[in-house]
Amino acid sequence: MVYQILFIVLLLVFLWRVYSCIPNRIKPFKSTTRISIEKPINTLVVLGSGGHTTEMCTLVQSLIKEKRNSIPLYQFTFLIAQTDNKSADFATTKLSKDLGPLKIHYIPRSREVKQSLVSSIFTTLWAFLKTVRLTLFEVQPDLILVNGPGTCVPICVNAYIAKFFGKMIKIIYVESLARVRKLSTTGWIMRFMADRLIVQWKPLFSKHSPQVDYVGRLC
Amino acid sequence: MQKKVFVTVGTTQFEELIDAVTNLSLLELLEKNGYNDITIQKGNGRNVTTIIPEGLRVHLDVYEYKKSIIDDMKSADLIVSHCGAGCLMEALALKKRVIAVVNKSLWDNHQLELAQELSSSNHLIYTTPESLFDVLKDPLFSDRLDGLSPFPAPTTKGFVDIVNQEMSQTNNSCCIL
Repeated sequence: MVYQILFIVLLLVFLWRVYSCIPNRIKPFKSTTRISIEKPINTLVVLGSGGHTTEMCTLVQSLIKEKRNSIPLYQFTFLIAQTDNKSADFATTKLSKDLGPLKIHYIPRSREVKQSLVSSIFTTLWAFLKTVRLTLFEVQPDLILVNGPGTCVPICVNAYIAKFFGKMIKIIYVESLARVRKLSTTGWIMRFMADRLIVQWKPLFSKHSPQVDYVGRLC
Repeated sequence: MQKKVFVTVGTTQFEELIDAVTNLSLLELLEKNGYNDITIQKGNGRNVTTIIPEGLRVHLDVYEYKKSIIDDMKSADLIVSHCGAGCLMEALALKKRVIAVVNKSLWDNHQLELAQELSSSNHLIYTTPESLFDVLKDPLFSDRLDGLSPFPAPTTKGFVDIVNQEMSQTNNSCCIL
């Protein structure tokens, strides 16, 4: 009997904790207070690849200029998939003029080509644990900035682990400029995870408002 | 005056578009409209075998890929492009006149939506490889090109506001445990 009560209490605490992690955007109540920003906001930027990287660099460039008392408001760490050999160069040429040498980490590959299914379960799990260590212990972000593709989802799952244990991490997802009327699969998943979801076209905004934001074309 | 057309198919291939633009009757139409200099980025499709007859004063230049096609875009008066988002956006940002040609064989058609949206707000002309000829043949074609509305520059101010706003808020319920 005691165990049963204990179990139910723990379950309720767990569920309440999970509920309190759900973004305000999709929760009926809003309880927010303003805090002053004292130290630079540690921002984790996931560079997707190709067009995603190009768009993300534009967004990062706009945040670099933000300053309080002439101190930059945001500082950046970049995450790039190990298989992506172009994003690092692109970001360096585009951003290092303002940021100096970039802090770049690589997301480990979850499976090699031709690897068997059973062993790939373990390697995927191992790769995921490595990203947990990377995001939650090495980078410790306050803000995660993502714009796809799917590789950014596990990073955001990590954020939820940290959120569960009480760390404040905000996730902001920007849908690609190529999406006009329908969210991408990643965008669709991020509807449930992101604190803010920004789209760049009116038709998409009218379809999903008020859950998403629209502030014109960004890139 | 020599006007330049740049045709681009992106990273793969788009044979219907290449076939359409290298068709002799279409080249004649282009010449009639004053476009003598035609550059084609054909991707990994088959080689262009069109032989230009003597009477036709058209210069045809074909290549597969280049590291950057931006120079060809900049020097063009008219860009005939596949519906790739990056390509269309780049062309419009350069304030070029653009004809977007849709590749129906592509399974994922979100790029088609982008081209349609841009065409419905009159930033470009949107067509298929089959009707490209009719678009050029239209006596009002050059008026239609002149009537395209310029593409407004993007702005990140709203984005920065959202991020700042979000980062200056904290959710009370998250800090209790």
